[in-house]
Amino acid sequence: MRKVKKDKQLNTILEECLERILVNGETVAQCLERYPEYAAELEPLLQTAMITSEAVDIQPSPEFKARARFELRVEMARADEKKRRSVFAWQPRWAVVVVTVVVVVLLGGGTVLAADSDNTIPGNPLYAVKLATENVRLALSSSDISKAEIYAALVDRRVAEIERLIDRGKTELAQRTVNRLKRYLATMSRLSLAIQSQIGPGAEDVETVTPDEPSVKPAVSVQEVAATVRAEERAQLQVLWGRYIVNHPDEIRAMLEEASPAVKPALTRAIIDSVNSYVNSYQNVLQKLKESQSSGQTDDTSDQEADDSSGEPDTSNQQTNDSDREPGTSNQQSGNSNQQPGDSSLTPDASDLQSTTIK
Amino acid sequence: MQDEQGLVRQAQQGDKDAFAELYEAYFDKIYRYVVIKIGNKVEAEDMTQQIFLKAYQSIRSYKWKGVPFSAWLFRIAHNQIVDFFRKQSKRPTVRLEDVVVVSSDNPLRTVESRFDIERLRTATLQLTSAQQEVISLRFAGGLAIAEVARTMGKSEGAVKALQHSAVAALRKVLLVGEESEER
Repeated sequence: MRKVKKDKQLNTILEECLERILVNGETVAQCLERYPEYAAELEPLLQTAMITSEAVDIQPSPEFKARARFELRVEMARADEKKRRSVFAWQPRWAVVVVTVVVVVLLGGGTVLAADSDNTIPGNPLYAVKLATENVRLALSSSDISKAEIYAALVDRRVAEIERLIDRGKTELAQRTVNRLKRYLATMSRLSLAIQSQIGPGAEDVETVTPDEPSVKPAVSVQEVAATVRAEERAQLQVLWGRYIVNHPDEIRAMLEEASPAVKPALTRAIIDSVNSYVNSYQNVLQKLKESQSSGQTDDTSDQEADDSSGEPDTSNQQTNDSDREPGTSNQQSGNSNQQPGDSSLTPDASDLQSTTIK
Repeated sequence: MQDEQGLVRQAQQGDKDAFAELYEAYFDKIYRYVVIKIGNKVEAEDMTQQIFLKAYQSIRSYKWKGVPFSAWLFRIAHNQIVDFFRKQSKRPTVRLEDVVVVSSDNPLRTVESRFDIERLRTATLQLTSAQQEVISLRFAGGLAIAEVARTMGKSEGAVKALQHSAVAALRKVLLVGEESEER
């Protein structure tokens, strides 16, 4: 009984000492002086706690932090734009839901779900179903930007499959998957070229997506809104493609080498323009961050008009209350699409981006 | 930093700058928590980003009701890590020794710390999952005992007891490791 009581006291004293040391900067010796009767038991515990605390004193690299801030701002702008667009796009969304349900029923829901997983690789009988579901997803995507996002996610999927096939010594299947991967990259380049032709001369005047991008003003016509959305979409796709180029230089180099002479100059130009867009939006973000740091926070409530009730159903509350929930994958696909293990050395350095624009 | 509750309310109303402030306040803590849990720098970077994107997308659903914002955010992080281990394939990994350590200007100390974090992670794997969680949230995540308790859904007393047993167990594991290295 006395031991239980002593243990309880020790739990509390250990926590009090840790708080004093970790938060208030006291030393281990000072804490031991406070509780001489517990010193023998406390000392080894506090020493271990100190070693632990020092070992975890790590920080993400500044390059990663700068890139992460930029990407968050872009994603926040995109999320808001998506909500704005959903006000005008209810009809196509219903159509998409109906078509998706029909396709899933036709193909057999359980089979589709099983096939559409990372474990289904070339050589697996369900792999054809996986490719079919990807094609359905592409066919149902309503815009260039969503197509590009899907392609970026598919590129990552194929890379993961190639790694697993090579691990298993299935070189022929790996080569076939490499060829498929190249076709995706070529499609992404075509998307980029299409944007160039849509934007035409004066492309440099198109605003890239920035964190404080103004929201659509009220009392404008549907046509004006649609035009704004198109311009934003094109600019976003250009930034997305630029980010992909920066993160995957080897694939881009290989694609350029294989491109026909007739396409090569235009493709090169498209790549350079996209990288410049990416760099420019990066610079804008860094600039705005600097400004906000030097002049304090600005009050931007313009995005409050985003329609709360029309957004996607929000299940995060349930998720955060249930540690054993099923994972949601949609966010992971889009957010993680351009990162591969080992890519960190290829990502732009914040200081380089501040001063570099490709000519 | 402005009052956290006020910032959360502003972020819930769509104020990106308010969310950015919360992001800055918690970014390093979440990153450290993820690194110590998964031991892979590249994956930890991606996952930290995912966690904040998820938090931004679902911040409107967050309600105070006695649950601090930190507990809510670390709960999202915990769920992402659970998902990660479910989906983990045989991809090559980047070892913890590539993680930047900033605790000291002394290069010798830095080398020592690199060693420590890898050894620490290996050691924590020998603790119970609840003990691991307390070490990760308290030391890597930098949460106070009350926040750890809310995140884990336990009482403060239970978390204090867990912290005590976790630190004691960790000490044993580290000592055994040292002895076997000396032999």
